[in-house]
Amino acid sequence: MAIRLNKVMNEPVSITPLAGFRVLFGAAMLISTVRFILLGWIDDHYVHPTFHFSYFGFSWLPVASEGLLYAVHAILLLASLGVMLGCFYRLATILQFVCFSYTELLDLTYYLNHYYYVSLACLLLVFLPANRAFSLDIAWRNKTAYSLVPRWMPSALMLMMAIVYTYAGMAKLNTDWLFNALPLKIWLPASYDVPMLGSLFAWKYSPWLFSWIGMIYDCSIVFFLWNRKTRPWAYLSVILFHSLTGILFQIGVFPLVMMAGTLIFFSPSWHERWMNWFQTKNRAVSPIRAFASNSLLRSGFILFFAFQLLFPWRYLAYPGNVFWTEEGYRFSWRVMLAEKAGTAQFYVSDGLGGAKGMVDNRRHLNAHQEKQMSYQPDMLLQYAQYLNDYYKRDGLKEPVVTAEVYVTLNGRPSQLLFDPNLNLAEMSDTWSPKTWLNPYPWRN
Amino acid sequence: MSRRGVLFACFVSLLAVGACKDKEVVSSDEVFDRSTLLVQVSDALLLPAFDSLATSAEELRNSVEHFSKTAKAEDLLIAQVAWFKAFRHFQATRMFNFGPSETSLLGDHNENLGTWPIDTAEVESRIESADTKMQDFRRDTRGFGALEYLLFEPQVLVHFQGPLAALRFSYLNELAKDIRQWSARLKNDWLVYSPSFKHDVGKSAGSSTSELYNHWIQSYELLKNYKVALPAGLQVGQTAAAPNLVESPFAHASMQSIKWQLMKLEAIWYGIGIDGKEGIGFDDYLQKATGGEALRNEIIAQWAAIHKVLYPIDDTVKLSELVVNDPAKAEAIFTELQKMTRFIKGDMSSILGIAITYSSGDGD
Repeated sequence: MAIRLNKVMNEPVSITPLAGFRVLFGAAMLISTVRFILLGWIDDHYVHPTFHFSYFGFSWLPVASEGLLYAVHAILLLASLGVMLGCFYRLATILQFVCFSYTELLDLTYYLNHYYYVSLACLLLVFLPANRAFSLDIAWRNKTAYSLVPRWMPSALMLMMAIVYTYAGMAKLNTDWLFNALPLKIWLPASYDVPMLGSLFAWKYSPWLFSWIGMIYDCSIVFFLWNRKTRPWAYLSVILFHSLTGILFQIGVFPLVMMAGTLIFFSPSWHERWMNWFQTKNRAVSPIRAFASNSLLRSGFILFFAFQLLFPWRYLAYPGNVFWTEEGYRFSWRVMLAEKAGTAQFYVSDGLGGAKGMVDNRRHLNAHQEKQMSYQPDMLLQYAQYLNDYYKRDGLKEPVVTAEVYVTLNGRPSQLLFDPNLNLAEMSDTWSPKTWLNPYPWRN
Repeated sequence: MSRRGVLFACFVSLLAVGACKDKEVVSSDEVFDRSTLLVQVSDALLLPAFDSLATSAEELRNSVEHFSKTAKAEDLLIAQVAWFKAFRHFQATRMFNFGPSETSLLGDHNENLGTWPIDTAEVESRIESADTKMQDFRRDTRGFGALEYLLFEPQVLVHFQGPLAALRFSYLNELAKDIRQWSARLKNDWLVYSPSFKHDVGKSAGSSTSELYNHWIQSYELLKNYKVALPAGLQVGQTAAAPNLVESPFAHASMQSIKWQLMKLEAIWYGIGIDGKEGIGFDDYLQKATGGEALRNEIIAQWAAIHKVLYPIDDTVKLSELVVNDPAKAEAIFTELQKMTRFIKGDMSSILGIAITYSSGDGD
């Protein structure tokens, strides 16, 4: 079986889907970066906040100065252009991956599933020869053009896309989503006034219908895209589905990224056709030389995908409900899955005797950071540590940091997340289960 | 392929037909029309509030001008009464600190008219140096707080009859003029902006509903954290009550100010217009949302709990004295206000699906 799979995966296939993906992904990244800059989010997300929540293991990462942050985004812009055009491709992909991932790692509160996907796709492109067709590297820099690559190369991008969709679909296999139509029952009323579609959203059964269609779509779309016969209809549904989610929710460039990314499933001849619109003459190409023979690269990809396949399941290793504890929630393709909010009132007192004082979160965090922190246990701990350090510098000898945190999930009455007498200053975030959290308080 | 195409088309058509059947569409009784809320807030609360502020600011300006001509005690009293009236109307506009209220480069509505505590030393310095420009970021030298200081400080008549009287009157007049101009501009700007406000019925970040809701919460939090907790010495780092940090330390209107602002916040919740008639408010919105009924009842009960600790305290009670002499009462007010935060900031935003973030951002 393994030998057969190895043989199939090393069969030469056309490079054009790979090159097509490069162009479209680069273009989507270009648009996304321009949009990010024009909306003023460099200042809002990175420059103005006085405190940044770090990813586990990345607290060492420094936040660059304002000038450098703009420079990083300028480089990202150029790198995306380079990827799109296939110009200085290897350098462009490395810069794109490093710059994008750096900005995403600066503040945990801005974590988004599609940003995570973009980071992973950037990383994959670094190791794939997507510039060896339809690129300026070939036209201007005399790089050797290839018409064939081993099958595993375009398949790697397809598999990444498959993981995103199917894991997102499997995450929807829960009581709230399927039987209570939550959170769509909460979210759809916001769109009753959308022209043309409003009456569809207002249909009594739409929350259930959309929930089930969403789940079935996510679980199955990759198979329909993969099948040549169903592909055109499947792609039409990709456009409809992501356009609809784009109308319903504020999800930025996510629909664009997915609509562009899923084109990797299209046939080489389809990609050749649209590429020919831009090419005045066909260049002589030669077959690729032994990319597949690089066992180190192949091993790297196998390890990468083993991790991608297994890591989202880590929530099973934790006791409790993942929607409540958030342990294993991120990096698991739980996309638009729950309506969750909280309120966190922190108190600080001096352990050596002193009045317990309330903290005004807005003095330390922006509104987005406060919102995210208010219901995610690891962020609550980080913020407590920050307050501990802040008030130590302010003169308290042994700060005791407590918090009264109420969390609501899918419109249920909010409940205390943990004992408000716990001194959070003494605790730190680890991989271990957060046994200090109260048990899941609601019955489904 | 074509057979699948036909099936797909049939499926979409079925959906469309199903969606259009009147009996199966969520009825208008079940759907909240956000425009009704926006119209009620705009026409019955917001515009009348800014109109009253502009009118009372004009009266304040006139009475201050008259006092500056006579320097008599009875005219000072008239000016003080006018200050009270305008200050009260200002509290009714605090929660509308968005749209035209935040377009000035010098700061928003609350910052320009309602900053406290006032830097009295800086005010005196500016009086001495005849600096009456009021066009900088030192908002703690102008607005209602600075005017209150000049009109209500213990030696007020002595100072207005002393050697710097002319300069003092000049600063006083400029303060009143600045408040009048600011209020008149906002009244007009809101009149112009009102149709857009009522027309924008979405609820994503930046929409009218989102702005209204977010600033309603912000205003509530400001009241709780700074009008109550700060003077009560409940903020982190405070070791005792801070009577000097009450909102109105000279006119002693702090307790009334809390009640005035809270009354208006509650009016938005119930949709009670300036004429006292109840219309569409957040309570009606919540009632029509999935799971909103229970939360609505909790919030109404919590309003009652706040009333129970706040309204028995007489208006004549000075907050600066209460936080020192009877801190338990101040703490009780804070505790009941804090209990409400959970309902209106977390649960309500979640059930209504309103974007609570003030800056836009993507999600997934």
